Amino acid sequence: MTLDGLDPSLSQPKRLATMGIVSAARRVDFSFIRDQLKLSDSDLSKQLKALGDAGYIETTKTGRGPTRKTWVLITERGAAALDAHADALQRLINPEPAPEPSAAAGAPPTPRPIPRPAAG
Amino acid sequence: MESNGFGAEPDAGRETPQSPTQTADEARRSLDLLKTTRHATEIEGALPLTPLWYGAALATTIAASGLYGHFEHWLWLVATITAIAVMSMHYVRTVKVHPRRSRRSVTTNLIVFFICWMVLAAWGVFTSTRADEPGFATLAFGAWLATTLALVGAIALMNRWHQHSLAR
Repeated sequence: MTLDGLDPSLSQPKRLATMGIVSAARRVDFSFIRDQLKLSDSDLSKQLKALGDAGYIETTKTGRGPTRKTWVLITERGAAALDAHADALQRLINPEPAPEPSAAAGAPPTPRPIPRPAAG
Repeated sequence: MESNGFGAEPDAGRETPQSPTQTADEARRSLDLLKTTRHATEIEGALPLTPLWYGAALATTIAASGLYGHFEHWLWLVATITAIAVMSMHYVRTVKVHPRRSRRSVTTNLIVFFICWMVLAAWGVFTSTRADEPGFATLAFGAWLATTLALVGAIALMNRWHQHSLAR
């Protein structure tokens, strides 16, 4: 994580979009992600490998021959990281107000709820 | 090649340096991207594009179930099993998104099940009251055709709405 709370693994748009797709379903076919994001097979494979190395997704294969499919699943760690990244993005849009003079003098700041993006 | 909307990224595999001063506009674009991709996936999961011949196969299944017992048993049974098997195989081969189990998807399935049950019940009443009348075969074919056209129309509308939603 960076100081802003942004996850470097998710800051690249292709990876963020891939995680967005995978997070909205139980499992997603490789070809659906490729077609939605208009990526080449090799490019998407690179993104999936990076996300897989970070422990954010898992892949499984089913079928044989022409019916063979690669399914992509989000892990719990990936879902948590995506939520945290989305929260950090939301904080960038709506930054917390500067502390008041009394807070600066030593009083603890009042906690402010973090707005979350609408699911879906 | 058609643009994928992600801009120029010479090396997708390389980590881009993180800027500590990411602007609010960039953050807003990222959140919009996240929302759009989630929305498209949920639509695909809830309403995958369905071929129009599903309408005829579904109507055959409903009609065969309704007519079962009136004529040649094996013929209607074969028609029902074949239609369901072909549709199931096609679905398994083409499904791309397995949606999350949610209250919304259960509600959708219950509504579809209820509609199919109502159509089947109508067929059952129709066949039990008219089966001995002359010209029943013509009436039965007309009812099958009407069911087919209604289902094809419904599928076409849903597909159109689906494509429109994904294109937004």
